[in-house]
Amino acid sequence: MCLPIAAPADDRLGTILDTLARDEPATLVFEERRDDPMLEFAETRTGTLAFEPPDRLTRAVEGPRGETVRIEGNTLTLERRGSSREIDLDEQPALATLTGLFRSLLNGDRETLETDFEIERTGDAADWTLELTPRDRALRRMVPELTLSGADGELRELITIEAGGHHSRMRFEPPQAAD
Amino acid sequence: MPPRSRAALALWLVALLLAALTLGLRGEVVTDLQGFAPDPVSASGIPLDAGAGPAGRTLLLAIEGGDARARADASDALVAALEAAPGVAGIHNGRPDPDAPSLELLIEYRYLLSPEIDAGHFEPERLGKELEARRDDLSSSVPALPRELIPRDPTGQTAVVLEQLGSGGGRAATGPGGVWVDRDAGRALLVLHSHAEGMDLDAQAELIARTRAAFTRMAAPDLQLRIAGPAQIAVESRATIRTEVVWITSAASLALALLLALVFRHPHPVWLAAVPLASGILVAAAVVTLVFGHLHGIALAFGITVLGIALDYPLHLFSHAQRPRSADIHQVARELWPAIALGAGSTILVYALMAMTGFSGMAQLGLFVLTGVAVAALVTRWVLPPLLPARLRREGLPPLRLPLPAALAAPAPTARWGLAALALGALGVIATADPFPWEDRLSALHPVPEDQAALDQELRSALGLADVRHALLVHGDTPEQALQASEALTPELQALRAARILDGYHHAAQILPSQALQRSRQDALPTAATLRERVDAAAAGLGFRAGAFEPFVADVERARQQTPLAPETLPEGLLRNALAPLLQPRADGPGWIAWVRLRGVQDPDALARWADTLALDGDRVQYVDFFRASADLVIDFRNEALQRLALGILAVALLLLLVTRAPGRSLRILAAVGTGLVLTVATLILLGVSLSLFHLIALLLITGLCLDYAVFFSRPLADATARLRNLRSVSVCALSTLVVFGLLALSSLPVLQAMGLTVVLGVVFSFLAAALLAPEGPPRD
Repeated sequence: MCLPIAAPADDRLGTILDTLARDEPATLVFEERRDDPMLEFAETRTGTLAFEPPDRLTRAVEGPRGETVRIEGNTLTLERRGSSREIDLDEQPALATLTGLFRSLLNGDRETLETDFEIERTGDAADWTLELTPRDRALRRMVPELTLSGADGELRELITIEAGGHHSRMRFEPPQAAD
Repeated sequence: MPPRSRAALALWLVALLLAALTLGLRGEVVTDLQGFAPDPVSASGIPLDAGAGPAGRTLLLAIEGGDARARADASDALVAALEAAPGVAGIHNGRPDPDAPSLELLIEYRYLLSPEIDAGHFEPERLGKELEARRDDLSSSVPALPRELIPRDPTGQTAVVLEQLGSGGGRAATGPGGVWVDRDAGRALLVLHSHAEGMDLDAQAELIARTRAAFTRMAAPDLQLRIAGPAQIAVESRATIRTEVVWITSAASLALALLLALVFRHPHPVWLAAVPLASGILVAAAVVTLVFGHLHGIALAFGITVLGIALDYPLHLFSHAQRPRSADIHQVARELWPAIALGAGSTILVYALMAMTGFSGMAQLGLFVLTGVAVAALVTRWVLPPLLPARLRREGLPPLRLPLPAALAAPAPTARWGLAALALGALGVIATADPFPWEDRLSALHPVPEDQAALDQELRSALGLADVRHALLVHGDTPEQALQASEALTPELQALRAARILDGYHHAAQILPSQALQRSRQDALPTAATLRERVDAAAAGLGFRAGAFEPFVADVERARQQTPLAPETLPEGLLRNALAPLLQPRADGPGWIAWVRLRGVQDPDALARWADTLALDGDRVQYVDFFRASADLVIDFRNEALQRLALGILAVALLLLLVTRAPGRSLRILAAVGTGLVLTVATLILLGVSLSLFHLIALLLITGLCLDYAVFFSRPLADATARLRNLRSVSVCALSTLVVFGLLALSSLPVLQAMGLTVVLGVVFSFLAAALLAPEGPPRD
């Protein structure tokens, strides 16, 4: 166990977040499953989430309709089928909140997390679940809730359910031994 | 007390009581500037002032201090606190309100409202691209459109309609938290629209106070709220004027009381001197209210200033009622009456002409002053004497303490020639002033603090709000006609934008297209069968479930059957709120006006030239330069006032001739008035002052004062004592006016300073002119 000695007994959220923070580059591999009432079949693809301190995060999904989304500072770059587009996150607060979630988790920015979401924790450091509710009214209407779970400083799964029935699940693979 | 005095006192009390009752029951002081104009909306349909247009209803709010997050939160909290507050037509901070109930109306009517809808919009190739993009959205973590809307609106028209609706409200950059910020993101910005007209200053002041109170309740000590906008400037300058007027009036009253107490060496004349003036103001306010139904604040303020003449009448009375050898006060009043009546009568004549004008403000001012002067003169003659304590009445007042240079009592003949030479020189100065230094800008009437004006400009540009100066006005017999005319302008406006004459435009038909255009969009919508067929073809192979786009097909089919929206029948909500400031029934008759607001006008001259070519359109479209429109109004007002003044002086000449039957005396009086006015104007020009409406009002006062001085100085008085007493009497009057307006000249507000300076100069010159032109003593045989 590596609990900070000074952590107050009730700050278990702080403990969980502290164990997730990385101060050197890290890459997570995940499998993404998306389902939507509009789709004939749910689709499953693999991808990577690469974090470079302090604030650069790249999310790449492979396969058909694959895309690379990179955020750095307040700029989001979307690459898809060889063309790329830049988006100013200041102008898209909902997008900033959603794409910024993993960045805040990995660089330990608890303040941003807590201003963007109401966070409810269940479980303990060995097996935890965070229910994230967006504080922004417009975003909450679109994405009522996100459920993030993990264990011992590792992310396990993010489930996002959108209004209109879109459902997505990111399942993280355990880190490679070399990491 | 003689029975006549008793009757006079009773009459006076009844008149005051009636006046007080009238004001108490019907009194209404109107403060908007428009009421002062000939017509709220002039014959050409142009409202008086930028504040009267749609821009006038807009307040710009900026939140400073703290960090970006705190500012964004405060911005949201302010919207939440004010969006349902009374008087607020809308408050926006850049964040669309997802829960607005009227959003559904926009979505339902999107195919009639969106400018993108034409036959090409539903072509198979175009549909194919759109559906491909939507398929990407379903797989993306960065969807271009909210996924929820894809089944209904795969071509994204909801977003287009919302964008169109919001484009007039502002185009500020969005900062952290999704709220509007200025360029360096140091301030969060909001736009607040009021229900009330911009020049309804009471309502605007209330709204501003409510906004500040809401901000204070948020208890964010390191944040500050700054407010800009035409209404804020007008409200603030009104408050500044009020504060300054209050302290100057208090200081002036005190100084005047001191002066009078010193000169008269007795307390009674001090308070009695105020009785005619106060009676005059009260009755005049009541009469104007009865005749016009209301009293304009500006007429009241100017009227009280000009009524300063009324202070002279009691001063004459008391100056002539001193020991030794004073007659009974009733006797003095009787003796002075012809002079007072002549002075007051001439003044009344000037203002009677002014009262008969189309300018409601000027007519009110004229009626106010003539009533006030008449009442003050009558009160001095019949009410003051019985009010004086019996002992003073019998024995007279203590001798005046007023040392005067002997030369004034018997001016040297050379002094007259000097005066004549000065007057000629002054005429020369006036005649050669080219262009004559008139101040035509209506904005000169508002003492706008520099930093307020700068803040307004800064926020307006950061928010991308329409220019307050330039706009187009589109006329129509019906709202439909006005909307169609606005639509017809669009290609030309696009050309202007392409030529960089302006940065953008915003008009009513962008919010709500004409019914004709809505119908033509309906005609472009495919039938359900055609659309279904095309959607199926376009969606093939993309992995969509069968029938996934049925909601889209159903919405388009419903749009084909919809009755087009009309301005008159729009339900409450976003659309109506956005349309209301841009499309209105004419205030001055049947018909409608639609505004085209222009943003970032780069080349006003080119715009004006283009506007001249619009006249070909049968006057449907009109270019408005608010600055010029208001300047025109000032010029009209001034010309009218000058004309009336000239006519008035002519009428006074006739009156003098008729009453005095002494052409020599009449000529002296007129020459003194003319010399006083000419010297004053010439001095102002030499001082480099631009002459505004306020100088003109001051000149009107000077005319009255000078008439009074000249009438008294020109009285044929037999003995030296009487002449000296006469001189003292006029000197007391002039001194008291100097004290009051001298203090006004010290004001920091240009408006008050202008009046003060002008009157001070005028009093000095009028006094000298009247004194020098007085007839010499009777030849000593």
